[in-house]
Amino acid sequence: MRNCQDTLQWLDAYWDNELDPVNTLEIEQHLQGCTACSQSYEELRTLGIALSDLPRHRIPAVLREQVRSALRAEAGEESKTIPFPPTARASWPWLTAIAAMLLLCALLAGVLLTSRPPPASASERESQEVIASHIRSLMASHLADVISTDEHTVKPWFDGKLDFSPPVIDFAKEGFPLIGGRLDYLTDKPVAAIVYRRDKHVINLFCRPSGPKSPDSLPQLVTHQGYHVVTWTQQGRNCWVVSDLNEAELQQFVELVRRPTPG
Amino acid sequence: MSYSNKLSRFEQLILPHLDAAYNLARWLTNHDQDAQDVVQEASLRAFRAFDTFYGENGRAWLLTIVRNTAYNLLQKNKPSRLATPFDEELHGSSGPVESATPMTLLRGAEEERNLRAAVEELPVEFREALILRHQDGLSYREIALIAGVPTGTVMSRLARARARLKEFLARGIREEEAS
Ligand SMILES: [Zn+2]
Repeated sequence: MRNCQDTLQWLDAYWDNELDPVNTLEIEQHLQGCTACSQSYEELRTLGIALSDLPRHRIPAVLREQVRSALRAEAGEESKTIPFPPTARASWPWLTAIAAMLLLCALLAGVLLTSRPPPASASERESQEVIASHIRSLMASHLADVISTDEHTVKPWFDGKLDFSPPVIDFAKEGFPLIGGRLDYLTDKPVAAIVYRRDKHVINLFCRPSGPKSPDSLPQLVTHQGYHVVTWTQQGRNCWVVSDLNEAELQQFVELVRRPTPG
Repeated sequence: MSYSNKLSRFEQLILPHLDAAYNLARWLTNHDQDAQDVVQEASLRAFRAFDTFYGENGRAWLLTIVRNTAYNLLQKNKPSRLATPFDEELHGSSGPVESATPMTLLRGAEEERNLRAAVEELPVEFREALILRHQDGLSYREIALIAGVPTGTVMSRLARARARLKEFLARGIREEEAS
């Protein structure tokens, strides 16, 4: 049988569920028969609950944003300055890292040889424009011209503003609720911007006709400064999806958009 | 693509624990601006060290870095607060001190304020153990890994931290009754 001192010594560990079954049982038995120790335990329990209930310090929203942008800057910095992976690990991400590095070296070599900036390809310029437009849309109240989670409100809104009819489908059931629509410009031509949300991440989907007889193309992902841009052509329509959402979930969104729709 | 891949993996595995990181930093430093500096610096340090993270427990991993960053800052800014660490051996490893007055139920805003103030007065190693245990729900083993001490030390720190809090709160109640 346990005495009081022995019980009190292990009371905290008992309350924290850190004792093995044998000791737990012995403490329980002692507590049942001892008022003094039971009272100590009751106090400990009260204190423990009060401590767990103390309101947590809430992170300021500004700090959260600062951290995110510092990380983005750091990621951009790393991709420019680190010549080799610090520790080579035999995993797929590193293989792609090395591939990216070789590409970067080739680009840098191009710069050195020709001593002028490498010509940005049309598609690269385009994805940078897509990101710029995405970032602009995140700024104060420029996200959507028509704010509605109802596709039957957003779709007609585009009528008369564009000479084509963009696809507007709410994917709320799939976890990508529709937020609204906006008229925007990409490479000086109008596009429909359809805005979605995934948790706290905003997704912009840009669409416009691809011109007669453009062949379909599969989604291509490009990343700049922490933003992913996915581009493809489908049924006479050019589409761009841009967000800082993680790649996997963004791919999931792209698949939803590409899914054939009735009608 | 791999770098953004690293960033998005980091955003997925580590950033969800930014709240816990700030909470710990704020409790350890007892100061808003210091806590913000700690979280900023710790996130960058974590990102730079992310290649050494093998995906076990993102929260414990980040909290370890936050904890170390906070201690560095405390050492730099307020050496006196760390200069006299509470000696584990000297104060013995015996169990909780029984409080002279039974504690009444902790309720209401004032008790909450008192308790918070009492926690803030504790030595930083005690605060760390209490917060990781009660607000993050970590086990002795996890706390031991974060604080870099044996599990037994975590147990005795928690026991003595709670004993002190009981004492402090009991004293507060006595003073209130006397006045
Ligand atoms: Zn007893």
